[in-house]
Amino acid sequence: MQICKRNKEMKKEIRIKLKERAIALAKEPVEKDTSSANIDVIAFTLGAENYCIESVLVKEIYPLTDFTPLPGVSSYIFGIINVRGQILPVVDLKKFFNLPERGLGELNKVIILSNEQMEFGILADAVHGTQTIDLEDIRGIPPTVSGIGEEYLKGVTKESLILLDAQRLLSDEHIVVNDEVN
Amino acid sequence: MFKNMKIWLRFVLSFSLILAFLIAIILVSFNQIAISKDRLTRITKINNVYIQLANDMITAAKQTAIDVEDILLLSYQNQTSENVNMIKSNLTEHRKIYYEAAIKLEALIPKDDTKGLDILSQLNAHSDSAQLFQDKVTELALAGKPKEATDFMFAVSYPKVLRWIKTLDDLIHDNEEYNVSHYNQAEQAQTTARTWMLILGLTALGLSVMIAVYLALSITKPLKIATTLVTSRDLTMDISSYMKGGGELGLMIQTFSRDISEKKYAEQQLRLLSNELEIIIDSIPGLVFYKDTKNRFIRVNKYMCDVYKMSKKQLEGTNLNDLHSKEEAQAYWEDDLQVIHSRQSKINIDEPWVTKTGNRWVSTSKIPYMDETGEVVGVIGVSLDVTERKLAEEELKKYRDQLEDMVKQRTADLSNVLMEVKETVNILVSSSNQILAATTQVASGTAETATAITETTTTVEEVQQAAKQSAEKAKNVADSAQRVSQVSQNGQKAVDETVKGMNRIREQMDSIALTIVRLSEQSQSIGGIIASVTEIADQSNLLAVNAAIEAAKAGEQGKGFAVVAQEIKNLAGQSKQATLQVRNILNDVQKATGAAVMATEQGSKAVETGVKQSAQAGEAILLLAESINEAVQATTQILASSQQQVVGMDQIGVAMQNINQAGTETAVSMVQSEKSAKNLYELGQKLKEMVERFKE
Repeated sequence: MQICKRNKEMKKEIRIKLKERAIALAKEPVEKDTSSANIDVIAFTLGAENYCIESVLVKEIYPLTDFTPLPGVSSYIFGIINVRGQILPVVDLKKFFNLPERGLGELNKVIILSNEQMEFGILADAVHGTQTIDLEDIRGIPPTVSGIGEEYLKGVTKESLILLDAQRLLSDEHIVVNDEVN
Repeated sequence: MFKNMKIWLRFVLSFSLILAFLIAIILVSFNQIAISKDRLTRITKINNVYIQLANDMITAAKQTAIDVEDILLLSYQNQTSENVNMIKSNLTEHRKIYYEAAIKLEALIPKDDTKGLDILSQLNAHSDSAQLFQDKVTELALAGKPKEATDFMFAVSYPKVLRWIKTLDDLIHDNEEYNVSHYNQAEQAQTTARTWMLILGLTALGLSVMIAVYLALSITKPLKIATTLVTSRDLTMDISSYMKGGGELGLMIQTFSRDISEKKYAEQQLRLLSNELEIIIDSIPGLVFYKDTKNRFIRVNKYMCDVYKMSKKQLEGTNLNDLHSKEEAQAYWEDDLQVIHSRQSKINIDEPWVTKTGNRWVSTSKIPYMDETGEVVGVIGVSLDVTERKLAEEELKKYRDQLEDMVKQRTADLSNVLMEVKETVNILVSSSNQILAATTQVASGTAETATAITETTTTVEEVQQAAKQSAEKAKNVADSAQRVSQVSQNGQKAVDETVKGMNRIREQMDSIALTIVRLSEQSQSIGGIIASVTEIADQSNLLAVNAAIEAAKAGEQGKGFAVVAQEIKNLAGQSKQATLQVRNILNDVQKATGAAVMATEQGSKAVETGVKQSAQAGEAILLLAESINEAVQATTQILASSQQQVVGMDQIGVAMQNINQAGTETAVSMVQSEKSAKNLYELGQKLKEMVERFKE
């Protein structure tokens, strides 16, 4: 009897969950205001704050399975990783922006940025996923933000996501070490 | 009805009765005075104020009428409006004064004064209408129509005002009437109080006089009776009403009457005793007298009176010297003095007594008379006439002397014969004495033997009984030992089975422990699987994110793919959640299996201890069985020997009975021979006595 009842309850739960999903899928996509421009971003965490970066310049997200620290480079160079045979440097933006340190864990991911000239990874404490944000919603940088050089920030969204300038990062002389090695 | 009551109780009851009356007087007068005070207070504090207020109201009403007339006059003169306004304000002021007084007055009218309330309502109606008409007059006057106003005033307004004021007068008059009635009530209350106080006071006075008289009488009457009783000693008085109950005076009378009756009885007894004594003395045939230490007779008997030929009254108080010659009296007195000084009686002294008829003999006894302090206050004398006896004695003595002479001669003859007989008898007596002693010794020996034999026989019987009982007991012991042996064998078997069972339990415990260890290992491997599932979920999540990125890069075409990627991400999240739950459950399972492993280990240890203990129990039971077998053998031997003992004791019993019979027969014959020896001895003794008697 007990088992029968439990089975029934479980079936019921499954049915409810499936229904929820169906409803979620059947939802009309939110009509986007075509008058303004949208951009897709990847949201992630650095220290205690949430950041995002344009997904156009993101090649992929890669798990931090194993990495090799590099001796004799700046402290913000976290090390190098092997992405399917390609060796890429990883930058620790927390060190770069003088943010508080945080230990490594399972959630740590590497966001690989690339354009025609450069390709490297940045270390994220956690990656939340993709998001679409309205360019009109982005405001200027509040004066309280300190530490990070303002030149790397594009603005702050309504949800307090700090939008990083990926293009700027990719062409920064401080980060671009590739040349010197080459 | 209060005769039996204690005096203090009577006083308390009487005074409390009077006190109750006094309290009643105080309460009644206080109550009535309070009523009259209330009424008077009302007259002074309320009613006078009331009249004052009414007078004020009349003044105010009249003032309003004057004001209206003033306005009218001014209107005739076409005066400035300033003056008119001043008077108008005066009018308003007066009305205000009137209403204030009216409100105060209404509050003061007592609720029970219906007539007053009635007049008040009339007054309100009249005042309202009068003021209405006054206003009309003022209006007309101010409108510049003085003539019409005057007409209207005299025709309509003025009578109304008069009526208003008259009603006020009525109100005052009514209140005065009310005052008079209140005064009357107060007076009546005072009169009532006076009357009650008079009645109650007189009653209390009368009652207290009555109680005082009653108390005095109730105490003095029994006291008078008691005094009379003590002084007159008259028991015929009627005191029956005091003979019961517990009042103090009653008790006093009871005690007095009892004492007096006891005293009277004692006096009567004394008188009887004295008479008796006199009769006894008078009936003695001899001289009986009682003299004091100055040789005077105090008491004498009839015999003495006859001898001296004087009456008792003459003789008592007379000195002995007046009755006898000087020498005789002196001799008697010296004899008396001896008794007085020595304090010793002289009893039955025979002395000659010289009478007118010849010489006679008297036997006189003189006894000193001592009072309570032990001092000698006189001499009691008794003299009996013994002349005849004295003569007879002298005759008898003569005869006896003759007889004695004869007897002396005879006795001398007999003495010789008896000497011979006596010797023979002495020999006979001594030999019979010896025989008796020997026989007595033998008899006592035999009796002792018989007693010893009887005791021995009894003891033998007891021993026999004991032997039988012990034989029975030994049999019982043997039987129970057999049973115990059986039981111990059963116990041994049971212990063996227990040991086997314990071993089986140990095997099963081992297999349980093995199973649990395997379970624990398997749960560990499940943990590994969960870890890999978690990793897969993580990777799929990442994959989903990457897919989303790719989809974003594809632009419009990749939109559908982006949704799918989002779904995959959700799924990855859910599977991660699920693995987390599984991980938790697995942790619980691992904890439980750990506890189970511990428990099985403890269980197998306990089982091992059980096995060891059951083995020890088996050994103990084996030892027990062996010792029981030995006990069984010992009891069998005891049984055999105790049966032999019983047989032996029976034989002893028979022998003892034979001895007992023989002893009894010997004792009987010994008693007979003792008796004959005694008879012989007694015979000798008698003979000896006879001979002795003759010897004298």
